[in-house]
Amino acid sequence: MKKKNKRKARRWLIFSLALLAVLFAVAFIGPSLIPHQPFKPNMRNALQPPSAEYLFGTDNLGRCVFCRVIAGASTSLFSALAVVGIVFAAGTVLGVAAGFTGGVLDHIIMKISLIFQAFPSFILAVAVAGILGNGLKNGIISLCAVYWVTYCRLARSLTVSLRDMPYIRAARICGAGKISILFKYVLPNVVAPVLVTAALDVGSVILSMAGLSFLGLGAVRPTAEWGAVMSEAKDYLQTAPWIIVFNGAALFVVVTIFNLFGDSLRDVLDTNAEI
Amino acid sequence: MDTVLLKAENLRKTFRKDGRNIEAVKNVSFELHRGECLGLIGESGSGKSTVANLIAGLEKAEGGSLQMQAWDGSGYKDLLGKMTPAERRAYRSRLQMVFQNPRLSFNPAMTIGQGMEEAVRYYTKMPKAERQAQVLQRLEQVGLGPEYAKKYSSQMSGGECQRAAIARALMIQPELLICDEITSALDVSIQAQVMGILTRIQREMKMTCLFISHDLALVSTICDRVAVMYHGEIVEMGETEKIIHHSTNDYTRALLESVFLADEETMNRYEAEKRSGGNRGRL
Repeated sequence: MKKKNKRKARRWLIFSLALLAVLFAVAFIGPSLIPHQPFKPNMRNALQPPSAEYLFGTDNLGRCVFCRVIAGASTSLFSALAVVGIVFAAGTVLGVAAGFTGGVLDHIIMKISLIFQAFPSFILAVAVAGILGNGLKNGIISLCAVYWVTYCRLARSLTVSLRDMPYIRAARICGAGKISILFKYVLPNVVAPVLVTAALDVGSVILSMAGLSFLGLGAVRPTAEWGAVMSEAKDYLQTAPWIIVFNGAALFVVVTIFNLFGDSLRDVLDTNAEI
Repeated sequence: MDTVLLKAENLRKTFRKDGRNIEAVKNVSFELHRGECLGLIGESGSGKSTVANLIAGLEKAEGGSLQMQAWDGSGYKDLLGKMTPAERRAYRSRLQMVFQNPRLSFNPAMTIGQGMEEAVRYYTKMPKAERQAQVLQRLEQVGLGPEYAKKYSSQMSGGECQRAAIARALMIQPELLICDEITSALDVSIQAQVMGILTRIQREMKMTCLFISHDLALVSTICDRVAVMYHGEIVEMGETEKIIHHSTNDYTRALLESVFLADEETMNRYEAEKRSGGNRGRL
């Protein structure tokens, strides 16, 4: 990559990191600053359109939609980051172990991942969440069951491609043992591309979690998770569209910020482009 | 003391590809004398690199023996035979290898300096400060400044990377240096630069060298003896001069005929044009 493009990518990364900082501040500090109680019903103010007092209007129980969007941000962010963190760690460890050792372990891990890949991913998540029951924790587990495969296969293919690289052979000649080669030569070169995939996946995990909650399989009442709120609000789409619109807009903004971050991180970490 | 550093006897290696057994190396035998440079030439797929990998311990031989002389010249030890891990490390620490692709010879996640330090970290208990000083010394030996220690391979040209790879190989002051097609990924002017450095260092350090190439013209500039490989076998071996001018083998002669050597008239024209700046000195 040319230096100019690299500088541009760095600028985008800084910009997206600044947006992420604002997002996290809103999600984790915001709930203590909001003007209304996000979970307390107030039937006298039910289904009020956006106004100066209620910026995003109120829902069917008279709760402030703006306050609930802010309160729901931490749930959506926490669940998405938990899923991505777990699948990133588990998938990378399994994939690197399979690719590095080869043989029986490789066969077993790859065959299990193939079985998971045989199902449409969201259907599998719905099935797992359906078996485990609703709730945020089960929603996280069901999405982990879907997403780990991508990370495992990516980490495995990267490890296999690195195994015969001249620098690994040079390390063997220099006396490096298997553990040193794994931690100093393989993992650092596998982690960067997998990390980019993880950054790009946060947005889609937030959407998947919202989808599960929308179907009643993720977060449950009174949690203000955006998908769950949209599921409740769908009955009032004709009379109070602002509930769905503002929660949907919050999802759109957060997913866009994470996608921007993932894209710019990929451009900055793309060392292969220089080789 | 016997002058033979390494004796390869009846080395064999077979690879399995697409359900077929391919004999990459068939009963290869040769001796490497201390301080000499032996060229191993042949076309692509003739088994040259496999021989290098067998010696470096990157592949396991299926048969034969690889005898390496002890430090003090007291006897020989078969590198393919039974050895304790400590013995194996002691013998392995006496050889180094430089690879074909200069950029991929260095871990992209490490600086050149860190990569070079790795070459001594596992075989010696050298303190960090000493290792770093040696990195700078070796870089200087191949004509690279101290600033290169902080660079990554992606920030360097192919020629610079290859010089750094030679410097890394020198870190443990090996007795045997294996050069596997080290110039084939470089353009001609950089090839000459790298070959000049290698020749100087090999003579200065009186290092034994196994130089693998498919380029006979290049081999003739550095090697004392040449072994010609064809289909996994050594078909001819002898003094470089003798192999080039009095070869008795048909394959070697065919290989020699395929080498492009500019005639005197072409070279004179090239020099004249280079002096006048006419065509930027192109042949």
